[in-house]
Amino acid sequence: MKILENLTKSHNIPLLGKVLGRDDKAYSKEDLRKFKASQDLALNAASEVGKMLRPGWTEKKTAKYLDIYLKDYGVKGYLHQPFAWFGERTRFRGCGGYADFMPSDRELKDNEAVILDIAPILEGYPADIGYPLSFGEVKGFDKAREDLIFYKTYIKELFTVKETSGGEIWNKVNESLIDKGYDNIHQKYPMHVLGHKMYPMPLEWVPGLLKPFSWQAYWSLASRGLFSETLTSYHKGELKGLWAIEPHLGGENFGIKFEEMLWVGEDEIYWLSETEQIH
Amino acid sequence: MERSQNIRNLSFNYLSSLKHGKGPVIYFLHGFPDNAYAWQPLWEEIEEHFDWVAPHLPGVCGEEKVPLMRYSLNNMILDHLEFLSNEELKERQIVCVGHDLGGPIASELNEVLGTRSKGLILVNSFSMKHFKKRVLDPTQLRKSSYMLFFQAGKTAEFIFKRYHRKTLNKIYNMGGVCESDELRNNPSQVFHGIRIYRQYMKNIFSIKKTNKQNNNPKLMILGLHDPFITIPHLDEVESYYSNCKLRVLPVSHWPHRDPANRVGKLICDFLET
Repeated sequence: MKILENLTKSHNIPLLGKVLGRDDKAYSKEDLRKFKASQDLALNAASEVGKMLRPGWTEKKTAKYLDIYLKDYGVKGYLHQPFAWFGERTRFRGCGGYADFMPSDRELKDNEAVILDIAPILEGYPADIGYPLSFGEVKGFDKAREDLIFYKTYIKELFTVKETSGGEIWNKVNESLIDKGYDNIHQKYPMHVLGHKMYPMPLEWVPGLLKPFSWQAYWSLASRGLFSETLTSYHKGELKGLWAIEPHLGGENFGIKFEEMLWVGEDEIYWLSETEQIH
Repeated sequence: MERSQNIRNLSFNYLSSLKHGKGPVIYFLHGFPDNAYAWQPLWEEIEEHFDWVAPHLPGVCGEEKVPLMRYSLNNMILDHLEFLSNEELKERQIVCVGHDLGGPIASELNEVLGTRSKGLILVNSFSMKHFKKRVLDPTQLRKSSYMLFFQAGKTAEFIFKRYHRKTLNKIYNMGGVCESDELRNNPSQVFHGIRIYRQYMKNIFSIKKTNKQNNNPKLMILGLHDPFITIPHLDEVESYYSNCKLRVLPVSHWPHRDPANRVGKLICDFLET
């Protein structure tokens, strides 16, 4: 693990690090405003396409419309391609390898949950959001939505505890959601992350090439040490910086998640969504 | 009344009459080389019974520069979906009517609107899946050979712009449009429709033929003397459209211009049943 950790610190190479994005955790207000603009655009895309969504749409079609919406507003690249999951796939039932997480020909039916997960890069500033909705009646969904609001407050509180570690946060969230009767679905994410750090990505216009995660995403996290950049049970390093936090709860036949950016600064911790709407 | 709405940083221009405020809204999608005014004679036939909206397809109205990607089928569908979600229309059921290149848009909209769509009417036009089959059919290809010229990009656009009146007249003469018809006064922007054709051709081979179809009622009106379309066999129609009625009229390519009263009656009867 130590070797892997050292290998992934290529971001410290002076020139390369500069070209591919600043290694700066003390963002200015203007930086945060740009991250927020990107997040607002992503949330608008999810909410607009979510409003139009109807039974019979496939995950692929939904993801395509998200892609069109974002590109028409100037998005040139992604941290990851837009995801859309319907029904049992919102809790990753039947998902094994990377390919299974990609939007599929699965059609939306009545009374199913939906998750839209999009990560556009707008003018060099990425966002990563998760947007849950239900189409019709989904047993337990409304309660789970309330619980997501609880986790938004709870996770922020956990970050405010002095000398807490990323591993402790991950474990506390894990315990809490199991106590509440949910499955921990973010455990099925790559490295079972509850969150990951966000950095400006000035080369967003270079084609992402890889799917579903672009090379920019791999570079952004892996080049800075990976273990310090992802919120896992074995997280190492400081918590300061901008995080995309994504608790994913599994109910009986559905999954539900939110994903938003949390700023952990010297003196203040807040969700970017708590600041003024930009887009 | 000419109106406009901003959709993803672009003006979405349309004409509408929503005086009834209830019942289905007829959503007219024009063809090439037309704009929304091509449906004008039909409005007089139907507006006593139904509300209607007729959008201009991208680029055919106004001077605004439209990015190329906005001419793709998926992009246009998202435009229409966003437009149909506005306050005035979001609760209304929709009947899509497509002519010529408006047909693929109308039939795709009929699919994505699901239960909100009350039906689909195609006037001398096909769905995208059917269009794909058709461009590979030698008999149809002979009648649609002009589309190969459309693929010439800027050269084709230049020629259309340079000789726009002459070209318009030639197309309308072929399509049996009356000498005094106002369509012949269309501005040169109507030729931007070839960008839509180009996008259709670009995406055509990625379209899969699936058996799944929306079961909404459908009406297909075809002109027996249409120089651009070969009348399909009934079994061909049934394989692409479920719950579809086919009406073949002794007319040419623009039956909604003349005889508009006959097409208007077909549409009203279709909606009333």
